[in-house]
Amino acid sequence: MTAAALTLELTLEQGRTAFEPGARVAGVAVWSTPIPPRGMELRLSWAIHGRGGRDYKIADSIALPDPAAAERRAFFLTLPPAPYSFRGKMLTLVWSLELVALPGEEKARVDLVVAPGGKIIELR
Amino acid sequence: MSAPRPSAPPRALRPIGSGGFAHWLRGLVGRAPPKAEVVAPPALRLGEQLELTWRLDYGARDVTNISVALVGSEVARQRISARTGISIVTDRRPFLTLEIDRRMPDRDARTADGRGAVVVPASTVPSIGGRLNEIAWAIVVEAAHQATPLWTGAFPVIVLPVA
Repeated sequence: MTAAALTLELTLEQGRTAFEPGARVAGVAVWSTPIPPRGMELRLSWAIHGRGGRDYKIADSIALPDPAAAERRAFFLTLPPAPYSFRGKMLTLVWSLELVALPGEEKARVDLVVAPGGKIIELR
Repeated sequence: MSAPRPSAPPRALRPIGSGGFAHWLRGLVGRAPPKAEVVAPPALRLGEQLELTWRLDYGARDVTNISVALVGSEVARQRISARTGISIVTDRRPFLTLEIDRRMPDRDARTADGRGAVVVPASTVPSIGGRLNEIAWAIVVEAAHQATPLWTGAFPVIVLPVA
């Protein structure tokens, strides 16, 4: 399986990318590969980016079982209650949802905002 | 309607950098540093009311004002490599300071105490700690002579997300 022959696409319901903590997220994962991938998974993660590097955590990992070579699969997941997306002068917390093809770890990614009111918190 | 109170019961909080050999040695060979006590819940949620009592024993220092505040800070650690080894540089920037109490002690007083309360806004961020980056909350007691800070003590608390 070469990366050039692989297409991955992640689309969220109504194109929405900002959510309340604990909200339900629905979307569609689409992939096309020459041969069926060994596995496909959705990876929900957050990272705090700072001057000295980033702290990264996978909050949830959802396997999409028995993937065919080309498929379109609907999914839903529930976001955790925290942490909240924020933007400060030194630090920024970003949530991401990735569609990951295994074993090569090719990815499609959507950045999310997870905070009360669906608005990133500005630390002034 | 008043803000809800934390479910964690109040207790004497432990200051950052308290105790240890250096603290003991300073007390032995020189003037002991001011001693502060803060009694408050160690954890609370955004939107809850933090109530605390505090006491500061500052001895013969010329303290003209004391402030107590809840402070939320961004903390970023950076590893700096040099030929002499690796050191960690920590930058800290307060993003929210909520004043809880302020006192101007009598001229000949050697101690001061008080109590206060503050509601942690629901619109800010809870504590979060990583290896390099952190959102940290602390109750900060500062003793000053006029506008010059003489001593600062920080007592960490954990701020949790809205229930």
